[in-house]
Amino acid sequence: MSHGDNKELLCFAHRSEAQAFLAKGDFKAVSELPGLYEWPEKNRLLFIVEEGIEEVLVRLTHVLSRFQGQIKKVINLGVVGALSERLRPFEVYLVRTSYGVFSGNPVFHSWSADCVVGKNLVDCVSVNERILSVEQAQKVKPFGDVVDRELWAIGKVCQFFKTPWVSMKVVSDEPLLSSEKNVCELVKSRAPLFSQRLLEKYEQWRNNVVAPPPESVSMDREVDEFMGAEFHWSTSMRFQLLGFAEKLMALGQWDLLKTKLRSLVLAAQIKNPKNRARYLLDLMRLELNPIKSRMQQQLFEQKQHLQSLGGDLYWADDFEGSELELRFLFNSPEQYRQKILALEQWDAQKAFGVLKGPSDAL
Amino acid sequence: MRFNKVFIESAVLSSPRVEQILAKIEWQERIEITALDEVFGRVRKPYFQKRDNLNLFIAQKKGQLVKPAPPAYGKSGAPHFYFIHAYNCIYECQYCYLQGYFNSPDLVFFVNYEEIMAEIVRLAHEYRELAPWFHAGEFSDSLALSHITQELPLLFDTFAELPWAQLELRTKSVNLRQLEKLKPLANVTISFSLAPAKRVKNTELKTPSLALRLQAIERLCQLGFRVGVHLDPIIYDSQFVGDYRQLCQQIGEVLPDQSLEYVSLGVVRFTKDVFYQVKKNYPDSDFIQQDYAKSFDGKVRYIRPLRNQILSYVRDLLSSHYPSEKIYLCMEN
Repeated sequence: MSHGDNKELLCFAHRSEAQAFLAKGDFKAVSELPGLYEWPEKNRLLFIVEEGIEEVLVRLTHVLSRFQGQIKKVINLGVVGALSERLRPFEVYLVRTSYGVFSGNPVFHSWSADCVVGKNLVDCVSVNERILSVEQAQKVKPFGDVVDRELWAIGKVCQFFKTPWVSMKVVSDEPLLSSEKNVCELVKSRAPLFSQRLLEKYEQWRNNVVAPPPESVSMDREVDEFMGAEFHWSTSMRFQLLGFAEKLMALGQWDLLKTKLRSLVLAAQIKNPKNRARYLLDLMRLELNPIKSRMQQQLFEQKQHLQSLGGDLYWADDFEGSELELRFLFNSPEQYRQKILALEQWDAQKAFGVLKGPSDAL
Repeated sequence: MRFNKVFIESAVLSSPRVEQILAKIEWQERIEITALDEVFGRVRKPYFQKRDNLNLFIAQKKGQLVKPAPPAYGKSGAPHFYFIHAYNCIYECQYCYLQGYFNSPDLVFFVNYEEIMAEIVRLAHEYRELAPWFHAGEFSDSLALSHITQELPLLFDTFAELPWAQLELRTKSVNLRQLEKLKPLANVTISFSLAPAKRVKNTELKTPSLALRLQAIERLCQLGFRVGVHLDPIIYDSQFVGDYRQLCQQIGEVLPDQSLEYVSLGVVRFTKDVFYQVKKNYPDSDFIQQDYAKSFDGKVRYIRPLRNQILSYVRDLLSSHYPSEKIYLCMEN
């Protein structure tokens, strides 16, 4: 078995739906799981997930775990019943969104197909029981254009494994209401035609798929390079750095700033690598929120002034409050008088002015 | 206006308003449903499908038809109520709190206007001494689709009989087709949300430009309508000072004091959930990269000193055009 990544996994509910694919491709059975085939030269897997939500949840989870990280896309192909009169029998449609209605109740979570755009898209409702009455059909119809038994579960498993999915559905020529027997017979008798239509659509879709752009350097790697050996980063500091870097990148300032900030820190000649990292974070914060940083600086000057008088000054970190907390310790009435006199020289108005918003803020 | 599917609640099937609405729109499929809440919002429909897979629901508004507005909403001193004639909006403002609010971007039109009006009349009489305000546009734009929903004549008729009560229609639209046919009332205010031209273009997607909104304001003033202005949400950026100076100047040029009901100011704010949705939907927007903090009411805002400076700067700019009692702060402590 090939262990390369970038595999495509083609999923069908029934073998008969997959027959054109199996006939055309060089798929070999994978012995460890019945219904799983591989065509190594094309990096393609084909899997009969079987019918129904429960089957898919178990079997597809098994396959995606087995090939974890190797499957780049799941492609579901199958026959569906039409809920909308605008759909034409034997036509193949790309699914836009997958919804679920189980025992008549809509399921809140829906799943979106990967990069599906254009006209003629359909929404697919997966049901856990066959639709055998008009009442059942009416309950399902508002949520989609076609009905199947699997796609919602495929979407859910793909969401869990963070694997994109695409679905192509061929519309059955039978009316919506079919007995269980009829549905099975239908798939069996028309299967070669349905399968052929699905194969044609799949090949057409594959030819039209635009190659994804080359992967850009991940933010994690950028940050790893940025941190360098001269700094020491705790986990929480690393997390902060990543957040700041992402914001600066979104603002289009990262490339410009990263070299400048790093050299500023190194020029400051801070010996302790952790303090050096902390200083770098402060500089980044300043770049992201110069107003807040300026206010902090202005209040810090007031704090230093009060510290020189033997006191201290505190304020809410989020600047949401309008209060300042002043703290003094006295060990004699004389000291109390001295400090009160000294305090009278302190410009409280200036400190409160900062909390209201410095006039140069804008 | 084109919809993918139109869902009609069985309770309103016989309403002539349904046919009036259907006559003005196009759709691919019409589906009857028993009750709105059996379908709308029951499954999560991706927000961006509002761009290419928009459905319409026509239904009856149930429950509390007119609700008290949250604190610090509207001019102080009077009771404020809002009523809901529709859910969701055709515009795509990146900061909008409707993102994810209903778990569906589909539009809902409520057509039991008479019942909504009856409740407005009841409350207007109950609060007669306090000159109550009634606001439309909390969950949708008040004018954008008014040529389809056609409820404005009824609203005007109702408020013509309630001269002590005030009606506000909030909008970003320049769709004046219905309004132009109506006689202005002293107690009905059409209020426009405005922002600097560049902000409108980059952030308030699919909305009319600032220039068009200013033209609409000028036109309404000429016709004798009362006009309100919402500079809300104000978003801070490096061009803020110049952009807002220009914006206030532009407003002053088209909106004379005698036509102005009020200007409301509010700095950008989000609930935690909306903030998450905005980040998810518009990760590259400039304003979502800014530094926010949890504020006095749990909402995510700029830090308080910055908000103060923003509001005081814009208030000063407006004060050279309008008396200060016409300028108030929305949702700020």
